[in-house]
Amino acid sequence: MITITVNGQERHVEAEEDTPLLWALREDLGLTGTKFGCGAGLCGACTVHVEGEAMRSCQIPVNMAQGRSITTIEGLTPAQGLHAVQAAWVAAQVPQCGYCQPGMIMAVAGLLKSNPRPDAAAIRAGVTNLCRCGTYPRIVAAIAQLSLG
Amino acid sequence: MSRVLNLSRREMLHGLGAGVLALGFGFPARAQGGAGFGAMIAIAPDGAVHFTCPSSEMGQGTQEALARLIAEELDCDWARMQVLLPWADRAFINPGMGKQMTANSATTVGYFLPLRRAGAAARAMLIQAGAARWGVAADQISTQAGEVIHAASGRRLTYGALAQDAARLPVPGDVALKSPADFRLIGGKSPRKDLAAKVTGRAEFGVDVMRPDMLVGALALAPHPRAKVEAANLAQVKAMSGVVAVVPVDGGYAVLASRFWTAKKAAEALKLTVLSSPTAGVDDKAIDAALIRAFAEKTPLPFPDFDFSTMRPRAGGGDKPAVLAALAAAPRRVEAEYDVPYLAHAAMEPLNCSAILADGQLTLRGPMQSPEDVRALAAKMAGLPLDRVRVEVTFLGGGFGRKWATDFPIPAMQAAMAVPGRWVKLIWTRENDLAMDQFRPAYRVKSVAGIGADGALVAIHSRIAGQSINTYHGRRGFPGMADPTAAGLLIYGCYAPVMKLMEFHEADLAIPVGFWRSVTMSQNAFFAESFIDEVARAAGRDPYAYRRDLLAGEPRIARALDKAAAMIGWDRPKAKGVGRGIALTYNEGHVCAQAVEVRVNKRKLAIRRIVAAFDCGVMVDPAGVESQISGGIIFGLQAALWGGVSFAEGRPAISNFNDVRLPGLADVPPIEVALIPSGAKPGNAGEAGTPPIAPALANAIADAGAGRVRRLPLSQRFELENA
Repeated sequence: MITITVNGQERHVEAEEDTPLLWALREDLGLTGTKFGCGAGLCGACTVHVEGEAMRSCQIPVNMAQGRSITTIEGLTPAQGLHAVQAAWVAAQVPQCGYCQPGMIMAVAGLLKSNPRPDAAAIRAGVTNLCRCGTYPRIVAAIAQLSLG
Repeated sequence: MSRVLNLSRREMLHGLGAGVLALGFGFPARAQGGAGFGAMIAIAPDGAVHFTCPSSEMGQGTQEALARLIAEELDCDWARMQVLLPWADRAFINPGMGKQMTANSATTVGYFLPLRRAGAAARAMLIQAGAARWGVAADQISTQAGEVIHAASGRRLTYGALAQDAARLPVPGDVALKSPADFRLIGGKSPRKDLAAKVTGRAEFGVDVMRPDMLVGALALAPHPRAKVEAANLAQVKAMSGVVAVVPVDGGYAVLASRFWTAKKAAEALKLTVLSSPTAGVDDKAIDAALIRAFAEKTPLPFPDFDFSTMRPRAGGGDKPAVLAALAAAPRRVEAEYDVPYLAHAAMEPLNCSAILADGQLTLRGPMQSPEDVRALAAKMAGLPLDRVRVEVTFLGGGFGRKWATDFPIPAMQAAMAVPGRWVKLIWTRENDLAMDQFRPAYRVKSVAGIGADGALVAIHSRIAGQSINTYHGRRGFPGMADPTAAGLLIYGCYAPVMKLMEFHEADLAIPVGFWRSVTMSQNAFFAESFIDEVARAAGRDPYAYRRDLLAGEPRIARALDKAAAMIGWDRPKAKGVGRGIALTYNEGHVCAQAVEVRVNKRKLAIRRIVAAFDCGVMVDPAGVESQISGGIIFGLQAALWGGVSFAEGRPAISNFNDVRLPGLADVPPIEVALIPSGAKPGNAGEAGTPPIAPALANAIADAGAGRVRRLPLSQRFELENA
């Protein structure tokens, strides 16, 4: 049994040790907001925060996550209302199909934490998640609004 | 998806429309959450309105659009309307298609009047109930935001208080609809209702379906869905730790376990021997040879220039001897050959579906564009009557035509039937999803145009070779007529007066193919709009002005083209290496004109700006329409820049996103979309943004002096750099 700290709570996971954190979150803990997109660290749909830093959970074996603090989209969302990035996403009407957006929001929340006023180059370098619907123009608009605030 | 069939159905609908019962009424009330008004609307005692949206939501925003149609006429409290996901049910059919299917950008078009009638009928019933309650005439009663009001006496009741009475009343056969001037929600700007669930991760996609004691399956796929395979080490894999079952399913084997990771490792250990495959030995060379053979040996089928896709359906054309004679007699001929490759859908949510067989009842739940077809096929294959099969639709993490197919729910059903009483969820890995795609076919086109001494276009003959999507799916076309998904609008009908001949040489290939966002236009906009550009330049004319002359009888198309030209600054001076290109797509419901400005320096291609002018008639959700166009452009941009699936040893040679490059945020140039105000009846928006970007880009590259692009993707010749 592996113990991980997710959204501030210690959780026990019975998955095999080499199981990616992504699947442990989804199948053992029922945290389905973290999405499976590629399983190869290429798309970012599975982005979570590990010790506050945005990382791709499909590339982290669950046993490597022991003792580290993990935040998922469910943990980012306040008990009431929305996180600032989520609110900006709604205001800019970013999501289309929405599948990549929890990962996208985790990536942007991670970026803004370390760099609250990213310039265009920092946004380009910092947001590498993939969106097939093509919501990028509105993501850029939403980040611009957040950077003002 | 067949646009030919849709036209006749659409016309039938318009003929039937007026007198019939509002959509969903006439079926027993199946709506959930209160008193039922037909199959889709329920009003709870507290006044909350539950709307079961009949269409699948895959990002295109029709759930929002359809909810607005109901609420607009029902006059309920918009903030208190909840939208629920549908299941397969004849009560939910799109009257424009005669089917419950979300495809072909037909949802808003098909449901626009029927759902407004449904909302208006429910409102009329609530008014009747109020009139009866108060003993006053119905015409003394008004409504406002979910309340029935008798102004003369100052009395008001919520819809919730009257819903039980109202739902028992006869459904009015004829109801008055609001005049567009009174619309509050249609055309409004409020954010989509599904956004909150999507930004918090609460939205349930197919892959998120969880049930107690559920098994999860991973797939070992054959090289082709119709290949015969044998698993050499079946017993060994069955004995692997955690493996519950290994089930032969359509296209391979499903390995079931209690966790996906366990199932995936076991599926990867399964060694499949291919006994036979429809694509045995197929590779890029064989595909090229098949296209060459199709041109040389396959008798072409004509595609008529009666054009269901034009504003004014135009019959005629296709007179081969006359076109060939005109071409032979023309003072100048322009000839060109173009190629586009197979394309993958690559929706972010990989294919998946869940199913359970319990107590003689089969239930499927997943991200489907075609729930009705899935239900019928599942019933047939399981040997169950239709009423023992329930098909439920989740949110779709992108569809783009891929989830129209029925090939992914069926293996889930087959796996579930092997373990009765337990839910089974099959999840395709990204590698499985790409390998088992139903690709947009590769096509090759040979075009010839004749121009007069004055440069005027006289005749065009275009021939296209490639696979028929209809053939792959066993769909019957019209006898003697080319598959419209290959040949439709290969030459634009809007460009008149020109003699036209379109022909299709069907290639003898069995690669799985299917509908890819914008279908026909995904390839034919590139062919048609590149060629007309080449013809204009050969005639020594400005390509925009040349098109304008040909669009004399098409003011709506011309207006969009003018707008796009103005937005890009068509006539502004250009530095060396800078080019501008323009292109359009259209059908009976929309016009989308796009223009691009590029800078080319040898192999380096920088896209400086993309603009689009879009007219789709009345818009229910303009912000949603804008996102469909800008997103559609990016979808088309991916194909133009990097799209293309290679084949080797009888299967697609792609594994993951390292082989299918998708644009990231850093790759996308500034995109401006102008929505052209229009009172025309609502048209379609979901696919319109995708087709024009490839030809607009190719035309801009030619304008920049960097030569004519006749093969996609552009990455064969250029490397993208930031502008």
